[in-house]
Amino acid sequence: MLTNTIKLQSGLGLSLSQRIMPASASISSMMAGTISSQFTRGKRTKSKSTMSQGTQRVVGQLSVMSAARKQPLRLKLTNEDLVRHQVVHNAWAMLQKQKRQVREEKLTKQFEAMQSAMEDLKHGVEDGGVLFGFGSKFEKTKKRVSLELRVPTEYPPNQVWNHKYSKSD
Amino acid sequence: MITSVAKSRSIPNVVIPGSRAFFSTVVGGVRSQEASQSSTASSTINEEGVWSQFDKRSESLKIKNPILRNELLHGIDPAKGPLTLKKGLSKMKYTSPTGLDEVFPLAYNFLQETAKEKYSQVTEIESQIAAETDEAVKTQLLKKKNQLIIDAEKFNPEVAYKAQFSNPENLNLDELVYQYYYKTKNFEGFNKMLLMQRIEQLHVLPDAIPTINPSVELKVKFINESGVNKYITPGDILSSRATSKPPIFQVNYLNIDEALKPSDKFTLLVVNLDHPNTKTNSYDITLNYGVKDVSFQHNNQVLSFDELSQGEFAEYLPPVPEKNSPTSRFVTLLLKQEEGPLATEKLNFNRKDFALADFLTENKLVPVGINVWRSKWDGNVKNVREMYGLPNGRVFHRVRR
Repeated sequence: MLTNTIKLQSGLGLSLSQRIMPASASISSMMAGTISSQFTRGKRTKSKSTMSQGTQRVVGQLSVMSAARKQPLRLKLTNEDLVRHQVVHNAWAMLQKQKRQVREEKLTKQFEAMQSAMEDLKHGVEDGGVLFGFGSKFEKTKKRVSLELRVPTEYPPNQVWNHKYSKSD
Repeated sequence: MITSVAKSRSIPNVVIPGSRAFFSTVVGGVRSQEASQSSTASSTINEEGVWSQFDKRSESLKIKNPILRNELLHGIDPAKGPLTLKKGLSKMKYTSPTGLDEVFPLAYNFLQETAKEKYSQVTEIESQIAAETDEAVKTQLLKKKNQLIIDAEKFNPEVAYKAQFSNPENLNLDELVYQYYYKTKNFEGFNKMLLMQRIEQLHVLPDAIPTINPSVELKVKFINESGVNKYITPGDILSSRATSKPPIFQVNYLNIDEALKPSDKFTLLVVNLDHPNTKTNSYDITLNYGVKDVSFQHNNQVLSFDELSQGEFAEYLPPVPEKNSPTSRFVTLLLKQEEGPLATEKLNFNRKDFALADFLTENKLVPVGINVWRSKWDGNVKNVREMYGLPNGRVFHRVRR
């Protein structure tokens, strides 16, 4: 039975996977000690992959495509244009760098001015640190939007009035 | 508070000459046809800027081919196609990337303006150097000046083109910007890595010298009637015919911070690290070639036979490896003479058992460049021995006789 099947398949000029798959399947089943009495050509006896069907299809399609086509298209430039492109790139990078420097300089100056102002409040004003404390007060709560505020909606809320509302919430 | 300032976008625009047009063209995206027409009409490169002035700058910073230069600065003519493509069909098919021709002049003018600023800083530093008396401050200023000169020229498209696409042997390495490109791309990017790999793998370090960080590229070439006249790759195994006549050397001095001085003297040595010595059951170092007081006027200089013969203190002995002895390593060393010229009568050495380390310390020689080739016995060794009147070679056997 087994030899017959193989002969039949090899004579039919099938595709490689079809030719090999049933043969290997029957050999593996023979190795396991059970020879299936009914043999269906092309039927998978064992699911090989844990991939989803969609993924498997994409993998299959990619495997038949040549490697060159999978790569993104290269921008083909002549030497002249490559150098011209580099010039534009360098100019843009330099412009951004100059802007960044100006911005950083300004921010540093602002930070230093703030720091000196706070120093003045701390030591220059003799009010026992009231103004400094007011200026450097750190908010404990992270809730910045009060509970009384509500996004306007077309319909009233499910809970119309919070009877248990307290300000500490 | 700082973040809120950053978000408010209240920062005034940076005042950079020529930048506004460049910025608006790039950022503005699609513009109306009228506007784009007016921009193309106004955006041409400034050909009276610093990059077009060759009264103070070297001519080597210019591309000689007028067609190529025109293509580089004004874009490729679609009717003719790019010069660098050879095939007619490729020329016809080629189109420049969209928008490149429009934005290039703005970028060029912008970079040229920054280069102009750099050059004005250079003249400032030059006057400072002239007034300065302290040597340490002077060298610091010189370093700064060199860096400014490189920064002023490295984005110049003509320079960038030549540095990237022309034959590195034809580059004028006396120009700092070409030296910078050659050093970063060719030397440190490839040649130095290969050299270090070879000299470490062949144990030239530490057999010849303890270690080295080459700041000079030392290239070795054997010129023969029949051989291939190219600079050797470090570690090549050469035939005895190829090495039968003395090599010529090319030196690329690539220390940007410290300029090459014609008054500096160098010594060239070729030593064999593997000369078998049966008495000590080991190998001796032999001196195959020694030249002293070599000086370099400029970079990329080829040291020819005439120049070498003047300072020769040990005549060239070609590699004649013994039959069945292991492959011999021939190391070429370029050494800087710390104390000026060397007196021939003071040189104390034994060619057959050359004490390399002692020779270096005695004469205050500092290794700056290195190269290595290998030789082994071949059928032509006998002829080379006859040519130089050397005695017959020995033959080694598996069991010593």
